[in-house]
Amino acid sequence: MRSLSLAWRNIFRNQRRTLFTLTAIMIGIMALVLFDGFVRYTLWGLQESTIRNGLGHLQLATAEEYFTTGNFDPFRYLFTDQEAIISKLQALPEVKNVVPQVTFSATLASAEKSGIVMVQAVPVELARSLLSFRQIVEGRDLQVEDRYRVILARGVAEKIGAKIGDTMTMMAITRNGGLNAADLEVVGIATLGLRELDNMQVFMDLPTAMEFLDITSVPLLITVLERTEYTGQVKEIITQAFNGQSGQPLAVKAWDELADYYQQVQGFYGTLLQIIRFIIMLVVIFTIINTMTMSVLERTREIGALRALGTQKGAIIRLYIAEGLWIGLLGGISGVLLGLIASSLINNLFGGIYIPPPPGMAEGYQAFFASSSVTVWQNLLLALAVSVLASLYPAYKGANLKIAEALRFL
Amino acid sequence: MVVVSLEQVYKEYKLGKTTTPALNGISLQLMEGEMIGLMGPSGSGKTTLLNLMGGIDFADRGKVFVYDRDLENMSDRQLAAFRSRTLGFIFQSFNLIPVLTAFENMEYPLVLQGIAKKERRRRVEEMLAAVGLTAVKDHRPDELSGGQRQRVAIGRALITGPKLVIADEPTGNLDQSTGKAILELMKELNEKEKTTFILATHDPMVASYMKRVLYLRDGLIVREEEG
Repeated sequence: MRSLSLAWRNIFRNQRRTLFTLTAIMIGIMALVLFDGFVRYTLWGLQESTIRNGLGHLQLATAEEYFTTGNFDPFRYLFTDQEAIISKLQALPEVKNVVPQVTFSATLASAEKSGIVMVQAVPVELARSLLSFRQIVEGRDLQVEDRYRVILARGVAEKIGAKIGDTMTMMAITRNGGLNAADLEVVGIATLGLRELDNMQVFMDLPTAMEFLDITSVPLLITVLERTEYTGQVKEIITQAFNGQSGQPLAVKAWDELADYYQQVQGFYGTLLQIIRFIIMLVVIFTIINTMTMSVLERTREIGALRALGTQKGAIIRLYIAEGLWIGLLGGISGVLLGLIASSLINNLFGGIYIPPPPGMAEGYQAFFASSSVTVWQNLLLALAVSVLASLYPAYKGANLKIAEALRFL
Repeated sequence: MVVVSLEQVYKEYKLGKTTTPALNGISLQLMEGEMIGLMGPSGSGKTTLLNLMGGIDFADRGKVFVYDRDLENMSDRQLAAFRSRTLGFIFQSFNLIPVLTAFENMEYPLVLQGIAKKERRRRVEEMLAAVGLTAVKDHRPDELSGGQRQRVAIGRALITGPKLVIADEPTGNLDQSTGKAILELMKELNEKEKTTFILATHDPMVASYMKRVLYLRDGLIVREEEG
């Protein structure tokens, strides 16, 4: 306790120097709070666009392999009691919708050009909840009574030169191995925000797809939840309550297990944040070491006197660590506060910052700073840890001064 | 009773490539209740001698015993505890803790000894009265005069009731009358409490208060006078 009060007074001895040290920590922590908020917002945006672009929160299939190779051979994995599973899922309060889906690859041809596409077929009345991030940029959305009509993703329409009202021919393998072909009318062109999806996705209603493929059930049930945070707990419930009950085995995957791109971006930003954090903290550490070593030097005689009076080495070390603790606390709190104020100013006054399209994205976006309580605690602890760490060397130096020499020091 | 005993003590300082001998095989005994003055020109080894007795510096050769304890064989931790319990240090340049008030500076050695707050307060108030600083007890060192500062330093050195007080030119920075007042205080303690004092000084006036004066030159005792 004594060290803390003595240390508190000591840090105000050379106010200008303390202010410089505090400013270094403050700016460093503020930068980290802002960057952390930016990463959080960006990842959150990517997460929601991933989920609401057709991935859903949880996907159920009859086998693990479906998630890797199912699109090329959906017929092997068809549910046998799909209705029973859907009604059980619908009974969970966290579940918003259960969307049966079949996805298959097909060749789509106009009069001149053709290309391989991925057809996603869901009931039209449920499409909006699953694909809420899909934007119709031309034409219209599918309606419940639409049959043999499709929406093309923008990249697909450009590749094969399709316009609204055009008729396309779709060819694909059906359940019994034969090749089927059908004429489809293009009613809309859409974008999903992710370039990768925009270049291959085609949407149609589920009854048409089932008729075309000659199937009576689907290989995939997509669950959309009320909130993304429920994903983990609902996955747990499904795995525990459903397995073994139905005749077929059940494989459940959460959205983040299926979103490779999201995982990559998350990993990328995570690493970036670590590197920036490391560099900023290194600068802060050296600033603190520098000022504290200076203060040890200035207080050499005083340390000598304290030691001559019978103060133990450990108490000198504690004194300097306590000074580091105070500096970290003051710098950390002011840095976090400043970061939060700056975030809220940019969010509310300037309406965010425009970010041009990142790699793989179709469009730029307006970025906000989504700071959380985790940001606050993490950065506060970081400031404390770094300051204490930085004070170790000066503390050790001070404690090991030779007393007689320290007292002679001018 | 022997308080300090030095046997054939040598000490030299290295400064770059030159070595300066500070103590040249000095032997000395200090008895309880003595008040000894050390005189001699600068560099004659006064401060070194005091540092060795206080366990804040160590001899190159020879033995230093304080209360029959060989200081060389004690750990840093033991030495710190020994200084806190047995010794009182007074420095020429006061060496008060600038961020602490006069009261807190005097209280500090009692905190080191782990004495309870109430008892600390009683003893500090008593000592403040004894050195005549009650009126300025809440002032920090930079708000005190030189004489007041040295009285704080003396209060700090004496508050634990040390058996041996080591003072390096305690009146060197003070005017004549303040210096005298401080010496009177020490003399009183020496007579009442049998506290042993050893003082290094240049000042013949200070020496006149001592029971015994040792004259040092080139790290050796060259003359001894009874006061």
